[in-house]
Amino acid sequence: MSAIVRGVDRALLAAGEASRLVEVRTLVALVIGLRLATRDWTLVADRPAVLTSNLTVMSWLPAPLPASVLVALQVAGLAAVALVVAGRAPRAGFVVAWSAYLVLTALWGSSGKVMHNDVLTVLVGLVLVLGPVPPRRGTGRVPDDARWGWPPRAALAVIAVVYLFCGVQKLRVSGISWVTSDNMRWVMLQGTSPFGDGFTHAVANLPLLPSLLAAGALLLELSAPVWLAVRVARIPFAVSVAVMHTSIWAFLGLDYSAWVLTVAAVAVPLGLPRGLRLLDVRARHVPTILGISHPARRTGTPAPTTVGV
Amino acid sequence: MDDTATVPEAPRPDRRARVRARVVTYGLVGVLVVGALAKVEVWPLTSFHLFSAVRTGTSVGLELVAVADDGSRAPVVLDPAHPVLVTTAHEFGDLPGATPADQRRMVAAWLDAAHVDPADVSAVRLERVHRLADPDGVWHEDARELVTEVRP
Repeated sequence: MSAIVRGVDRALLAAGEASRLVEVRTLVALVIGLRLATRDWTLVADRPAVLTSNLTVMSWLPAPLPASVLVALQVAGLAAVALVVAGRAPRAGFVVAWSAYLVLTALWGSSGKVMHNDVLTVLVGLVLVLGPVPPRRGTGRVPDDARWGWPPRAALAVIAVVYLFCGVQKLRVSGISWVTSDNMRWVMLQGTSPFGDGFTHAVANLPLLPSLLAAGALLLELSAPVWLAVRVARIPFAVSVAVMHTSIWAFLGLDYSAWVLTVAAVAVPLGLPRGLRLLDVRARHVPTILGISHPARRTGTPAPTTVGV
Repeated sequence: MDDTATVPEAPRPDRRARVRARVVTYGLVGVLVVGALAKVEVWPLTSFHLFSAVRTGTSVGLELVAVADDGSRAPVVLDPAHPVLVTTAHEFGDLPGATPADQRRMVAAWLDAAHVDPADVSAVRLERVHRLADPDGVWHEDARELVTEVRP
């Protein structure tokens, strides 16, 4: 047991590439920016205080906040995301973007039930808020270091724990009957599919398929730590998560796109081989997609060999 | 956590970096685990109960019904195009425990969210509705009971 703990600790503290951390921060910032940009946050101002629940860490805020304050938060958050993506003031930019996102999503969800749609993005963003930021680009190649390695791995750990407990709670509350009973059939029949009731009813009433879908979802959730611990399994996990949440949207109409994008923002860069960049964030202002970086050629010095992310 | 390769050992991280990494990673993971096991629901800390209960062919829900002076009844349907107000339906269950003044304020807000003129309503009833599904999965109302009534 202690050997496992030591192994996990050693893996957490292994040196990592600064450019990989910049990639993850940039992609998570883009997810936050997408969420900030695609909602009319002024709708929160329509909810009177008497219908505003004290369910979040932001419940100390007066309700309702004026629409002008909500728009100011949205604009500040989007401007901060732009700073992160451009590589200007990346620390302050990320803190402002995440804080604006935290406040707005907390207010949005203060309606009587804890909303999970943005929880994963907020938690992963918190890791990156609390982690270090590599020096600005233009200062030459930043040597690999434990400081750049642990934040993306901590983000992976948070994702793994969140998915694991989504599965664990199903087993704690319902046991294996969550899979073996007609549970998933009834879940589907109580949902609101964007494709209409006919689609949901057709799938829900097929023999075995609802239980197979339930088994697949539960297995994926419970095995998340294993998928995310192994580099080559991280991208397949991101794809599997996308398939699961897309099916939830298709059958139930629930939007968990922020979970899909957050998993992709962390697991895909960390699933790539060392040296293969998803975003060439170190050398150029405008990120390019999937380029091979050649740090030795660019800097004229050999790249150190370390345990990579 | 990570795949490893046969490479020379990396420089040992300095103490401050190690402490920061451990405090943030193990601290956050620990808080998530304790929050989930203790069923804490203070967003973004949550117990991650997503569809964890087994669903069956019976369901129970709460509905608001507006009653006019002539006794006619109409369901109070919160505007589905307003994603913030429509989710306040999760608070229907808080109505019986609220003070009379808050009950009137809540009902007035829900009538407004449903685009119903309070002048046309003599009472708003909170009702518990039991439904059963037939073998084809089509839901039918089985029973309905009054939970509380509020005069706006």
